[in-house]
Amino acid sequence: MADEDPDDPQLNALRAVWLSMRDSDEDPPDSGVSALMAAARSQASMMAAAKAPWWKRMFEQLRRPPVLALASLVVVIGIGVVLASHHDAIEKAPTTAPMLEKELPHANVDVGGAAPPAPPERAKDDEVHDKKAPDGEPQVHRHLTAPAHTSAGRAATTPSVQSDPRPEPAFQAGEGGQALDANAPKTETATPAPPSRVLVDQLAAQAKKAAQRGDCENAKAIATRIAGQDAAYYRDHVAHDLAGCVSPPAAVDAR
Amino acid sequence: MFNDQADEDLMVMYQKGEVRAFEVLLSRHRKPVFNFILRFVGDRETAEDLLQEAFMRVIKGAEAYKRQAKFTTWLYTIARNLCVDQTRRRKHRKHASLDAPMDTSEESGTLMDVIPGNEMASDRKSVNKQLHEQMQRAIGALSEDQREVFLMREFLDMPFKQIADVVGVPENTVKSRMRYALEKLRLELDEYKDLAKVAP
Repeated sequence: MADEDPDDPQLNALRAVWLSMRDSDEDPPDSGVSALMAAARSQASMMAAAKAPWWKRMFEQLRRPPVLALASLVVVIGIGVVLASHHDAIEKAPTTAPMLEKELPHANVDVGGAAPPAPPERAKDDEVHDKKAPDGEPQVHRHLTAPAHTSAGRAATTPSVQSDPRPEPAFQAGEGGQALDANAPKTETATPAPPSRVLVDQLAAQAKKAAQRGDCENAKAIATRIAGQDAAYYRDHVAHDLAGCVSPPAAVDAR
Repeated sequence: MFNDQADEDLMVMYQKGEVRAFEVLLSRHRKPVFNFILRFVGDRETAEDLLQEAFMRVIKGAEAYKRQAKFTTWLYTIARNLCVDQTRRRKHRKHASLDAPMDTSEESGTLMDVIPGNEMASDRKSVNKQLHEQMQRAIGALSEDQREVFLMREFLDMPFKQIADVVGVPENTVKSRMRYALEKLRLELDEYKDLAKVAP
């Protein structure tokens, strides 16, 4: 000590006494140590959490119950919004289908692949035609192609019917690979093969569509073709539908 | 690993969540702080309570601790403030002290002199024990300012600068208080100077 006299014998003697007192220092009781350590642990976890990086603290905040509840609410509302918009889209879908039908009038023969949904009227007609199929004859689906052993079948399976913008190509293929069109020469004189129900159905549908469009000339040509193929079918199915546009061919009247 | 670290490093580690670091600090300073408090307040039970409170305040204030501050300065500042508050409260209560004279006459003894007890009587047979008691009594008779400076300087080996930081007064004031404290002790223990000289 700078301010003390190191040579003072009395002070040195007293210092020896209190220095010896230091040797007899008492130990504090251990009773409070556990409480201190518990408090220290609690404080340490708090300090560690406070010094964590921002993303860790944010993650901890997100794990708190109020935030989890809010997140759940947002998810439920989001699902509701998505379902509602999806429902609207489903309701709008039938209104767009007829528009497509008008824009693509030649889409009546679908060859393979996914076909657009048929309008209700057409589907109904198909159903009726299928029900009136001859006994024992298996029902023919609209999307079935012509028999594969014919060249007509091969021709019918060629795609791109829907993308053809020409007005009314009528029918894509006939028996023997001949093109069947309204302007095509009549083939009634040829030896008639048993009429294919599929062919007649398709012709009837095309005639009906032509009549609906007001293309009576075309409808008449197709009707003549149908009557040549199957007069009974013509009377039962076609004549009534085309009554306003086509007078019955002479061949039918004769029969 | 932790035992070789400085107090300040341990405190920083504790701030990062290392509970073991605080455990080392506690084991390192518990005993000296307890004896400092015990000599300051003169009562074991109170000293135990104040020791607990001092370390509890260290825990609560750990987050605000800065590495630049010396840990022992901070710790003894807390302990000293608790002791000062305690002695002031005790003065207000005006409880009879074992060290206080029973009457105003200077010749009268203290309560400790008249309390019977085999342990106390046997202790008095030892010269060292007698000297320690007289020394403790003389320290207790110092003023509060002188006592805290004396205890930190002679029992904790603190430099004057650190004592000044703990007490919150200039270093010269600390030296002055120390000089007065030694002078008073010399006077108080004058009759024991011969015993002190022969004591081992």
